[in-house]
Amino acid sequence: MAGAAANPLLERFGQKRMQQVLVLAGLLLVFIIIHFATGGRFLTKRNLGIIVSHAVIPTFITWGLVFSFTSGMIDLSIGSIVVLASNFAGIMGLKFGYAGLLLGGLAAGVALQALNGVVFLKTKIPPWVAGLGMAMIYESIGAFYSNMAVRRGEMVVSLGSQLRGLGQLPFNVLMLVPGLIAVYILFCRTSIGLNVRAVGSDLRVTKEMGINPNRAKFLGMVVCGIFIGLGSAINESYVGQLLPRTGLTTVATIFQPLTAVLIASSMGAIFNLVIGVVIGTISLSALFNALTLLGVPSGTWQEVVLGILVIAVTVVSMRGEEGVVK
Amino acid sequence: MEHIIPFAGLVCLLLLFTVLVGSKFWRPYNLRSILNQTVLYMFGGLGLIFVIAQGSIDLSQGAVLALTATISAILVNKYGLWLIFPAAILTGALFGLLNGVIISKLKVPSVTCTLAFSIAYRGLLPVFTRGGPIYVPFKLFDLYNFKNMFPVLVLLTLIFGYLFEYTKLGYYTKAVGENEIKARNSGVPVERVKIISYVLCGIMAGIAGVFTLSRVGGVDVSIGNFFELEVMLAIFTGGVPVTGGMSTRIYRLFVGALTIGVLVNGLTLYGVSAALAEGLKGLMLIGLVFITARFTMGREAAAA
Amino acid sequence: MSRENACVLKVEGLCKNFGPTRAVADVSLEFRAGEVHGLIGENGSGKSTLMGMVAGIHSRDKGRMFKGNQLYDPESPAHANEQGISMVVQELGLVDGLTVAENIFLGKTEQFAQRGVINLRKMRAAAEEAFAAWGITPVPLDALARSLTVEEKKLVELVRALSVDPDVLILDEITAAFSHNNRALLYDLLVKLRDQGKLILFVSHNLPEILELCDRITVLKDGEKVTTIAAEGATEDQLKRLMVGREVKETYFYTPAQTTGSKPVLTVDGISVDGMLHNVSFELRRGEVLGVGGLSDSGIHELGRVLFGLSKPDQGKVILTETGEVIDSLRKAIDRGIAYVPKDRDTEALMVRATIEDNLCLPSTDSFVGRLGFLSPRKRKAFAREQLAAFEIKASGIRQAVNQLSGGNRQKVSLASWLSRPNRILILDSPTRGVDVGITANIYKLIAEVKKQGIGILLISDELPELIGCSDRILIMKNGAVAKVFERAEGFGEHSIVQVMI
Repeated sequence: MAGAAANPLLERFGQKRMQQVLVLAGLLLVFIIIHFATGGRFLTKRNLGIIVSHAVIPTFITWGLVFSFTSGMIDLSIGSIVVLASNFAGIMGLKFGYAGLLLGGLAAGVALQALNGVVFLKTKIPPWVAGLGMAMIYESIGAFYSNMAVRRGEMVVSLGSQLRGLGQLPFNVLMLVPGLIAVYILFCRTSIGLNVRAVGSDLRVTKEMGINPNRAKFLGMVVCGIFIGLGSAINESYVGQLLPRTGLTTVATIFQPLTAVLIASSMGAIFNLVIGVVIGTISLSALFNALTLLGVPSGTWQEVVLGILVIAVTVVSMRGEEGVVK
Repeated sequence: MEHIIPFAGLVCLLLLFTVLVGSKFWRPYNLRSILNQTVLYMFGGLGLIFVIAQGSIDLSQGAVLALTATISAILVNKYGLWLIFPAAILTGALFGLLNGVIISKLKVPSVTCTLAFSIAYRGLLPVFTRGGPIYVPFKLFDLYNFKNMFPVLVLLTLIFGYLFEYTKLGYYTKAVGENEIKARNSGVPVERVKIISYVLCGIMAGIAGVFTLSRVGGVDVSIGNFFELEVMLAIFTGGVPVTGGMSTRIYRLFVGALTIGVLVNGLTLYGVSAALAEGLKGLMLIGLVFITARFTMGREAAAA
Repeated sequence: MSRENACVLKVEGLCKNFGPTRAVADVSLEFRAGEVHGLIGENGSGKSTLMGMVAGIHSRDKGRMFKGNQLYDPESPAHANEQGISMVVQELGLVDGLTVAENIFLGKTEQFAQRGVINLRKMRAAAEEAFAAWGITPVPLDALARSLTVEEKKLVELVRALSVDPDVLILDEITAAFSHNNRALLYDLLVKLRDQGKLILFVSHNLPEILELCDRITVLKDGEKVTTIAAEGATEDQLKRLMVGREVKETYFYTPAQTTGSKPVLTVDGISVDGMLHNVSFELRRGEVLGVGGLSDSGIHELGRVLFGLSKPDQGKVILTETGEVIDSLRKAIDRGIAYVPKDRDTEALMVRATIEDNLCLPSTDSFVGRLGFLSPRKRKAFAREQLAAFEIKASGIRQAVNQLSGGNRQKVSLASWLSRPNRILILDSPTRGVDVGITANIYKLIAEVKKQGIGILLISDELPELIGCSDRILIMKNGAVAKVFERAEGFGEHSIVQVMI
């Protein structure tokens, strides 16, 4: 009896490993092909550094997004939060050094995401509409701050040459390690992550198991804020100065992370979602890098590729969907 | 009750700016400039309201506007001015068709699909403009004039208003917004209705593109930026519920567009910066969508 | 079997209504420690609702419960778990996107957490241990619930219910999904639990199983308790007699169909849908009511969807007998005069926030279209007013929103929107579900009138009395296949129908 039961268990486990190896091998093959297509400029040490570097900030934002997207919320204000949190991180960083930079970004990210959570859950407005409204408000606050600075004859906070290490190799990539550990623990090993996943998958059963869905969603948004905030801190260190933008130009920030989440969840049966995110962001970064190497300029065809990729990945993940899709 | 709120909002704003700004606000020149500002959004809204009535959204309207305007500008420079409307309408319709097919047949959520296309089209734009702006013949500049635009607006309002309020297409569109399953069970060709509404949305983006060309005198990469959000704002401000459905009425688009026009104009005259105005618009969007949802839900909470 | 153990659970005068539907009416029962207590009754007899109240899933309208000597008042299933009562519900109760181990301990993960971080190894070990300790066939603990078979899912739910170490374990039709092997394991387990002094409440349609396993059996009917008897010495026949045999309380306005020379209008030829319907064939005649009955998972509701073109059959055809045309799409079904009133009224049959007018007119839209596609508001209004009056819908007017109407009047709106069209075939799925007595009678009257017009009616229902009262023939389904067709001429014995159904 026990032996017969152990067999399918082993089988399923081995199958999963096999698929993981296959996906990674496939990715490697693609990379090698690109390498030769670009005349050997792709898989160099320097270029790989660039690829991973460019993936760091989107990875943090995507990790954050995982906690709100999983329970069914698309928050279009994330880009505007990144702007505010980056500037706040910069201000705190100049006062308190790296600790200020990190904690400042973190605090701003958490506070703004928590505010979003309250607005989304209390007003019951569809999150994407409410997110647009919040994005307008946050952009306005950013512009207000920027105008104030200009009026004083200054600019928005600039790190100059200070505190720039976090955004550069190797520290930015090293940040991925504690980040991955934290996101893994929060998403897979705490009741916050567990409840968010449960709410997103089956609301009725989750309620019956005694979980308050709104509380779960709110905590998910707060955790989302942590990673958005950390990403913002790294971002500030990377760019040195981030000018606030208006006219909803910040909305586009969510695209690459959204694509990465969609890629990760379509591989959900093979890789743990948080690892799928890393694979997703690095693949995207590699894709854009390869396109640049191939002479496709960014800002044009690369955007076209991103847009088509979002739709293609969604089509795949919606396959077999029977319900109503709006 | 819910019919009065959007009107009440508009009246309150008019009163507010009469007090704050005074007679400067009521000058004919200023009033005409408010109308000139809002007409484009009314054009866009005549198409978008079909999509919103279904409970879906089209975030690609601004990018479609940009691309159709660019393509028509190129064609007009090559083959003559007569081509402007046919070119814009046809290309707009094609982009709409693509949206509609992907959303209805492949079941991609409309937010994702149209947002992705918006990014992709914006990426295509520099490919067409080749870096520099494209200019259009001077003759086209005359088009952007209240005397020319008003008849077009009336004509299009009659056509689209008729389609939306008095035909099977409009009724079915709203039924899909109320309950897609029920609509399908009642014989509504849901997919076809969805595709048609995105085509209409694209056509109106094209027409709005022509007038934008006329106003700006040409195309650069920033043309039509956030057009769709302004249109959406107008529709929701007018009291159309985000979930769409039977209570969607075309007059609400006009009330909403005017409200936004008055707000932006009044704030500018009062000396409020554009950035702060954006924040206030955001607050208003959330507030009005919230209030509308409260009133249209009826006694029972709408199924989430 | 003469254990005289203490009473561990007592319910007193429990009542529960869902809208106008009386689900449980004044039920009082005492359950003892160390017994397996069977609950039987037809569909809709109130078994699941009664157990749902005990497990904290449903609130009570009236009545009290005691656990031991303490007043017991569960606010939620989780709260009931804390007090030692857990249940495996009839429908599937796992979160698809979580693993087996996570599902077992969802909402109860604190026990494995150190400073908020769950020790997955401990949790897995606990799950593994639970499977082993209760002797339940193991299921891969790291597999997502989505990837499991129905049987595996049920095993996981069973372990989850057991994991709270309950004094009272409620199992609602769990064995239906089980293979022979797992049934045997379950029976052993239940006996073991009983010997440990636990109470097991066992709901099942499988009478031999009930007789074999239970110490006492309670029979429910129409939400009321019929009796509680000792299993020893009871027979299947006796149980079946207790479950049925109610008096006909309502009027069904039945008139015999003009069956002489009546031609079939619809031929169903060997329809199969994977896992739901197996080779279903029958004919529907003009001017008859063909009742379709069976247990809730017997495929009766899916059958209605297939006939209307909402689900595509894997095999077989639905044919309009007169023309030989095959109905393979919804559009064709509607165009050829097939009307379908679905079971889930608010989600599938109505636009609840819209007005009565909008709801009534939708299926008949084509009849209002004039020149240039003009949809005349005047014609629509007149039509809606006419239907409102004809179907005696109680409303303030045609502009009233449907969500302000009672369940019965909503159902009338749904029926009216279809019956006002020229129909050939009418498919009704549970038309009186959640409808009060007065309007139920109204609906039966409507069915009788429609029948007189020569329309063929397929009446799908969970309620046997309704089928017996209205139908000319009754088709009983079991496990997705046609079990038997009863003719009215032979007399519809409720007893013999139940025999076939269960």
